[in-house]
Amino acid sequence: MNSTETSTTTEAALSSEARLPDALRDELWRRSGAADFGVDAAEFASILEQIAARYLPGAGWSSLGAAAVADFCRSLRLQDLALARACAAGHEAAWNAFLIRYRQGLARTALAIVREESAARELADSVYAELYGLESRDGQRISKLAHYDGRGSLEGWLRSVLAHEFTDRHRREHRLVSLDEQVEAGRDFRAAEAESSASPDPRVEAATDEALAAVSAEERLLLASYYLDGQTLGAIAALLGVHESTVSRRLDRIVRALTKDVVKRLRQRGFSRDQVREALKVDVRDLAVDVRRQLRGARDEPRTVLSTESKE
Amino acid sequence: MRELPRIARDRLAAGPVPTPHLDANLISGFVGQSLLPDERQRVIAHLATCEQCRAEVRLVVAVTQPDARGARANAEARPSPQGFSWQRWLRWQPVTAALAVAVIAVFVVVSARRPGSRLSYRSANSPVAMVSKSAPPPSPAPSAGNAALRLQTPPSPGEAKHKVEAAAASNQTAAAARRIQEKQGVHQVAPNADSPELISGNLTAPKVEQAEAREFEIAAPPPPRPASVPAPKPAAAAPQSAAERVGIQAGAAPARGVARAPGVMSVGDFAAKSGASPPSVSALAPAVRWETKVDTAGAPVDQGAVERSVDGGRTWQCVQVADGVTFRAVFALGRNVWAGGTAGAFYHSSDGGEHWSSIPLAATATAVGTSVGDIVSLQFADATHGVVSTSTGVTWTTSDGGQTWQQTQN
Repeated sequence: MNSTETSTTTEAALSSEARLPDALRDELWRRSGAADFGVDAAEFASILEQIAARYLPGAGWSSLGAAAVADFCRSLRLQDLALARACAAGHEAAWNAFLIRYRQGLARTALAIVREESAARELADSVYAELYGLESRDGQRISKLAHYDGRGSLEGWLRSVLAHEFTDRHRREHRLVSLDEQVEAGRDFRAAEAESSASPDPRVEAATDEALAAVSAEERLLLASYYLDGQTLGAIAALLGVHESTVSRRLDRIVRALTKDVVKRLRQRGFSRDQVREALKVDVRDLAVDVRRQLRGARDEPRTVLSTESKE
Repeated sequence: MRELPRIARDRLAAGPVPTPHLDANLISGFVGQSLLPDERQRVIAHLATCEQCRAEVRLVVAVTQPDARGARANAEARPSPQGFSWQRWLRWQPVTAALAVAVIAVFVVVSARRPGSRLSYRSANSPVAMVSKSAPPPSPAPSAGNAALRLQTPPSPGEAKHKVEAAAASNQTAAAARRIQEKQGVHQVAPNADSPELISGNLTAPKVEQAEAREFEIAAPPPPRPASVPAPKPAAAAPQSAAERVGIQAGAAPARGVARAPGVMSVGDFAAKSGASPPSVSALAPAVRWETKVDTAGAPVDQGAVERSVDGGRTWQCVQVADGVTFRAVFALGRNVWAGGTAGAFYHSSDGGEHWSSIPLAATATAVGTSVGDIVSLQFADATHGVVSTSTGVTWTTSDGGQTWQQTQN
């Protein structure tokens, strides 16, 4: 997945017969406006071929067909790609265009991420320095923009770079915080982590793992986003590009099916109903209990069953 | 939301973290939904088990949304599902508001169609009431800046160019007029309660095959005019074909893109025309409209004539402005009326169209060596500040009632 690091071998496998056709080269080069930044058609085609080799599955293009390659290349953000690669090559006009278009946006995004002006400025400046390329390798300035592949907009890519830099910094700083600082911050007064509810019986873990393995990747992402990360339905909907109500319905269906599947697998392993209920007990910390409603309802309903199994 | 069993949550979090992580290209492609389908599935599979990449993607999604701070705050915390939720309430608020607006709109439309209704009349006098003179429904306005403009007949291919030019000229005129108003601190072209007359404009396309007129108007509050104002003298009765007038004669609210001028017609006139006892001025002040008529095909008599209706569009009268001029644009602001036509002919009346005087626009253009062309659009913010567009693409502005002009090449 880390395409920039693993691309070398794939690119090497690109056979000469998999080069872009001349007509397509010219078309893409004209659409990109690369000529404005001094990038000629051959150079731009070479960039496209490297990107295509990096992302298209398989070592060559023969199995995909020329049409798929052409579609892939046309799906790239060609103008952004030309600008980014020209900047990486040190083209002055390209840098001017980049600064005009993206510098302010970079600062705004940094502020939106960090929410503190000086820290945001520092974050934006450090990313900008990487984009310009301060490190030199064999006398060459290496710009981070050379890693932009045109898969999404350049603006979106810059946001991703900023987010990555921010989370990296956060983790680094978190690791470097001394114990004394943590004590001052009250971190050693936190409540002890609750004992894991994992059953000592490996059969429960195995049954749950099997049930989770049967869940699709997208469903698993929904579960992780909602139950592990604590995301709102709206945030998950924005992530997947679907409506909020769709996320809600799907989550409800997934949890119901998953629970049913685990129960079934446990019963197959010889668990009694009580044992299943015990194994699947809901952690009280996860229950958003409306005490008033519960107390009011207790007068009418003398017994409330919270068992997951009984719901099913 | 249904609770996930604790063991399932633990096992969900216990999975191995996949490496390598997603790079910025894939994350931006995923957020921008520009990845290939199988590629997107691979990214989703990675995100399902990688908390680190989920956090980055979440951050990118949050700052991609218009209100980044709000989105990020939303992404960080989930409110309690119990009890009243403002967010949930706000989520439904637009729907509720839309329903309320729809109900009000239906009520207004139904009321407006009831003849004799007080609400009906007031609705017809709303600030930008549109009326259609001809049978076909009006076309959409060419631009928001010219919202009151309506084409009366569907344009034929031959007319399209002229209409576009005319609309563009009108837009330029409106924009220039707005600039003047802004300089003067005037925010509305429509007259206020202190100038209780009407604004009526007209924009016609040159050399169209069929008789047509396009106009707009901006309403004004009913004027406290005395009943002794004499009715204007018509130069000639304008022929009114059934097709032209059917929409209005049917008693529908004036549907032409016209403004009404509640102050010009007297209560006595209204009573004489309608045969009814004069109601209150505020309720029954009729619309005065101005338009030019371009009819190159079948009605040479009133070709390019300036017309006026003092009864909200039921009947029209030709107003004699000048001989030998084909008028293509007219604009009214209270008692002030301006009419422009071919070869820069430009006239002004300060008494509601009874007497006209020439405005020296053509002479000014000649003096500066510019061909003035035909006046295709005009608009005035007040009696002294106005903008005129001509068929040569030149916009002329005046700030002294037309005595001097400054040109702007478009």
